[in-house]
Amino acid sequence: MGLAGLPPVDLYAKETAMSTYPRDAEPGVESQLVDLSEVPLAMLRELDGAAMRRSLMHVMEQTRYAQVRRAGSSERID
Amino acid sequence: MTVENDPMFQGFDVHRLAWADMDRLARGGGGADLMRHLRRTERSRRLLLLRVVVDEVAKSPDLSGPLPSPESAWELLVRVQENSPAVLDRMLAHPYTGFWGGYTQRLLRNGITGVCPIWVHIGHLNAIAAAAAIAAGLEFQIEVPLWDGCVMLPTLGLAHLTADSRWSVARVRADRGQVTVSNENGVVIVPRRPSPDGPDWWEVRRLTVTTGWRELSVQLDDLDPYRGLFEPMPPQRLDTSEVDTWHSLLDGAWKLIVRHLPDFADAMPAGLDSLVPQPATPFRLPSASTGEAFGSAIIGLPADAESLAATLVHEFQHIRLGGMLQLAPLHREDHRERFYTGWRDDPRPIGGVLQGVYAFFGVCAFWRALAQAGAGAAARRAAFEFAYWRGETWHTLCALRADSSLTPAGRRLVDGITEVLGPWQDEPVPADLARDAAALAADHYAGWRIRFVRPDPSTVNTIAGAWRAGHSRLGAIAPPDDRSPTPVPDGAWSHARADLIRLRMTEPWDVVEETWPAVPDVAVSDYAYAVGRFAEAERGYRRELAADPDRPAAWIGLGLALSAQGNGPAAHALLHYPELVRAVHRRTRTATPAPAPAPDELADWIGRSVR
Repeated sequence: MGLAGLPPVDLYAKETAMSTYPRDAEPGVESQLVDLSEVPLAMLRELDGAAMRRSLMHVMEQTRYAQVRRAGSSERID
Repeated sequence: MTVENDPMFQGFDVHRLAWADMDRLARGGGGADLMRHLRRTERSRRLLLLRVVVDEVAKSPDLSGPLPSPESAWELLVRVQENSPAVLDRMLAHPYTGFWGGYTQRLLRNGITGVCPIWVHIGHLNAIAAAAAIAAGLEFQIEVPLWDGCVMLPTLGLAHLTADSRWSVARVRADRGQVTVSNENGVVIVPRRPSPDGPDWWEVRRLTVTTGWRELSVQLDDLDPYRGLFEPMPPQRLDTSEVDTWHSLLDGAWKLIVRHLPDFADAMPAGLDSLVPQPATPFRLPSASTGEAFGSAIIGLPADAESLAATLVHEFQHIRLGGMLQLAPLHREDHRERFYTGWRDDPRPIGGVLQGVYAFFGVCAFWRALAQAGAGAAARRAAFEFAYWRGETWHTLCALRADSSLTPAGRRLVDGITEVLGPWQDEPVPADLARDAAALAADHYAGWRIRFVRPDPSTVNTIAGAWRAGHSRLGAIAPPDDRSPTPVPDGAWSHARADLIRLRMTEPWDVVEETWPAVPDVAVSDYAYAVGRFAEAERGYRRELAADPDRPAAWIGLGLALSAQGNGPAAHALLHYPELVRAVHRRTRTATPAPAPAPDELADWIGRSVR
């Protein structure tokens, strides 16, 4: 679904058609992240509601620990 | 309230991953479509991070310092999307937009400044917006941060201006087709691509390599301040000959990946955007990545195309797993450092172990394919690396499979890897290479044990007392458990034997003879061991222990040298529970004035009893 009057995000248009998972798709993992593929930037800061807040909280929580991987070194990283 | 019935999200969905796709990824498959699916999830994450940063600064406008509010950058990005949505998406997909967002959010959350004043980090959003607007061909003007005279326009390049202070403000302006970066001391006209390095502009270079119809095109980014692992960093410009070397190595590596790992060659161009070059490290190939910079790998200059190909596969696996982790946690939060792995010298937490298993699973796949396809020295090297990494990865995978911290998604991942990696354990490898690989694995594991496993002091006292009393045998004593390692190492470790064995695999004999003294921390006994002079190595390690009876690499070296001449009780003890032998040796040294026992004599006596 696109919002009226705003262009689609064309880089992802092909991929969206190929691999979007509808709600009744086969089972799998469901993330905390709201799919913003079709939300224009002009609208993003206006969005509110429980799901949006949950998503925002999720990304903030994830930044608590940076996931860093290093090979070929004995330095302690994470 | 769920997304489905949230009025602000009517018609919107959350990101998902079907089990079938999870299984494909777990087995090392999943082509470009699946990578783009992971990217779409990452795009949403970055948009949310962007909003978090802008919302936070809106509550405390002073955070912007001398720069205008990030609202101006947001508005410019809105214009970019309205005019050229693909450009906005490219900028969102740029790996260091992700790292910048996570880093800046951490600073805001913790109320700290970071490497630069907080306004410089927040103001980088203006630079992101400026770069996007330039790419979209917009006319605009925006102020951006200047750090040590450098203005970074992500994905485009870096302008140099004379600055009166370490951190200041510059203006980016696009007007009638000309882009300028200026401050009170000068003006830089941004040239059109491609442009050679000049005194005031360095562009972000791109390397494109093609094999058949498959192309890999990545930025070789030595400029972006957010290209590192922890903190922003200054530019480290490569000269043109270094760029040529990277191009040639990447070309060779891409040929190998296309030929030997076509599934990876399908997926990699959709997931790898940027290489951050680092200087060569002799005898090693350090590489790194962070989950916040999806699409980026930091890699030291490799010695050859094979090493680079293996490292690209390794880092690409990390990128894929980083994408999966945005969709679902693979383990419960558990930071206890409790696992042995063959790729790190210290005990690791479950999160790091999962990353390592998935990355080295890819490395196994690469060396396996190369060994099966090739002949001669290259195939022998590949077979050795395959034999080593399949065993090490399997060892850790088996420990993971039994772990209760895995989530259902994590278990699915582990099961998928197991299905592929399990049968590889029985594939034939030349016997001498299998022996070398097994010895190297034993070396590393024993080296880990002697430094991180602490035997029970009362057991040590009992054994030391029995030795002093002249008992011919001990009662039944089990070796210490390795599942509760201490995080503090008891002594330093040396990779010299591993480096020497790999040197022997890759270089002709005269080069090995000439080069081995340059191996870090190498001892003469290590060289003797690596070239098969085991009795000489045994004598050398005894001498080392006489001089320093605590040195971990000498204890393990003695065990390896003894094992290579016949796997008796001393070798068994030194390679399976060296921490116990060393602890008893220490106890006998400190408890009585009598001379310390010979290390191998004590190891033999303990090895006859503790099994």
